[in-house]
Amino acid sequence: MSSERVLDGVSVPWTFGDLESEVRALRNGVAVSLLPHLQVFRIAGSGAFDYVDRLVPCELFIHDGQMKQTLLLDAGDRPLADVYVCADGDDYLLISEGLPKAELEALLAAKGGEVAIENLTDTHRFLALSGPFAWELLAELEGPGAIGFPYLTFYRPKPDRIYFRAGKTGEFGYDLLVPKHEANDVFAMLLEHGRAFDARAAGVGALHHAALENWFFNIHREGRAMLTPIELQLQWRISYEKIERRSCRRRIAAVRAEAAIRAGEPVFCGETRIGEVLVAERSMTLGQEIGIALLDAEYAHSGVDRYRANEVPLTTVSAPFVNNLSLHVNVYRDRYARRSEVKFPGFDRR
Amino acid sequence: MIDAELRQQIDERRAIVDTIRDALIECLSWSIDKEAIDPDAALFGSGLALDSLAALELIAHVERTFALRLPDAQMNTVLRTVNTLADCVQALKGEGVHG
Repeated sequence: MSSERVLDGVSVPWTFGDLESEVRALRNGVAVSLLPHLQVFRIAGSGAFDYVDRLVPCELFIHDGQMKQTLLLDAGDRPLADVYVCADGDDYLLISEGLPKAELEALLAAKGGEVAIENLTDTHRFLALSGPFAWELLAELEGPGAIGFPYLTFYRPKPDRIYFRAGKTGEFGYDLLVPKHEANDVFAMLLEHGRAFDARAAGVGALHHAALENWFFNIHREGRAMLTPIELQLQWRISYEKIERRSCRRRIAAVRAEAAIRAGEPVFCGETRIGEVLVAERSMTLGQEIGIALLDAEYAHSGVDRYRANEVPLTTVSAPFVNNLSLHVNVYRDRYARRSEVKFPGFDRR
Repeated sequence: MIDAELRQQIDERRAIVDTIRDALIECLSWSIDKEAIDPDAALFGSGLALDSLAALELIAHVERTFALRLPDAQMNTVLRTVNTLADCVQALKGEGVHG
């Protein structure tokens, strides 16, 4: 049975009934998802560069057809939204997750500037293809050009569609922006053509779980902990030419636990409280307890097995938690039908 | 209060991570403080967004600095982040595997 959750004020398909099977499809073959909560805006006009440059905390060193991951920050430099900024000729596209439509529109309007802002999600919807063989399904539908489509770039297969090579799962990922009235048909068509790849419909819950396993930032999870980019290990998304550099007394760290732990539990080293568990889940890919802990900076180093949460031993580890089949698939040689020939050392990266 | 044993473990780890950060800054001619390189940020794709040439320079630099040879067959899993590279260096140093 499918279930829905509300993200950014929008009801999204969280699971299509079997979250574990959805994650398995995403890690081994192809998963097809609906992302109705993503917002995308076109920013056009003579002031577009200056406007976007004021809006985002990173340097805008991107060329036409390229995209860059950054953030929208509040007045205290904490993340409001997880965004991609994309150079589209003289215009920019802004893909945002984390703010409801009305709040995001108000934030953009308040920036002023000589720009025209169009919310493309009034007319379009995002779907996502994810998995180590997602490229093969896309190539079957769109031709071989889809194979050589580099990460963090985009192109238009048709005038009213934009395909972004993106994703936050560690696998090949494509975010497909299609006309709203065609979205359900495209979703069904991808699943139909995806039968040869054992493709499954995967809800946003599966994508979020995969993001944790691969240490991708999640604005709806650790992004709500009122932390700064430096505490979140997201300094690469900002520029200290734009954002004041602050000292960092704590930082997030990847942890594995020997038994179940829960978000909010304090973390101890001996008798000293050194932080807390921010996120905890049982990895469906590894069958192990994994999580994100916010630790005092002097303790936040990988490879320490001296900590515990609620008496459960924790080990700080290097992210990501999983090894990805996508890193071992050669798109010029391998095919889903011959996937057993791919030399893959296994999902456990240790 | 960190005890002496944990302090030594953390100091050894930090030294390896900082050496890799220095290598990145030198290979890429970055003018940033090494503390601005997040140890779990991806080296490729998003994150630090290295290209293949920078990767070769980083490998050569790390092998020269630590006097060891990184395993060619495992580069996909070793070169994910500064921390995964540090894991490999630490393991090879522990095994006494030198180039």
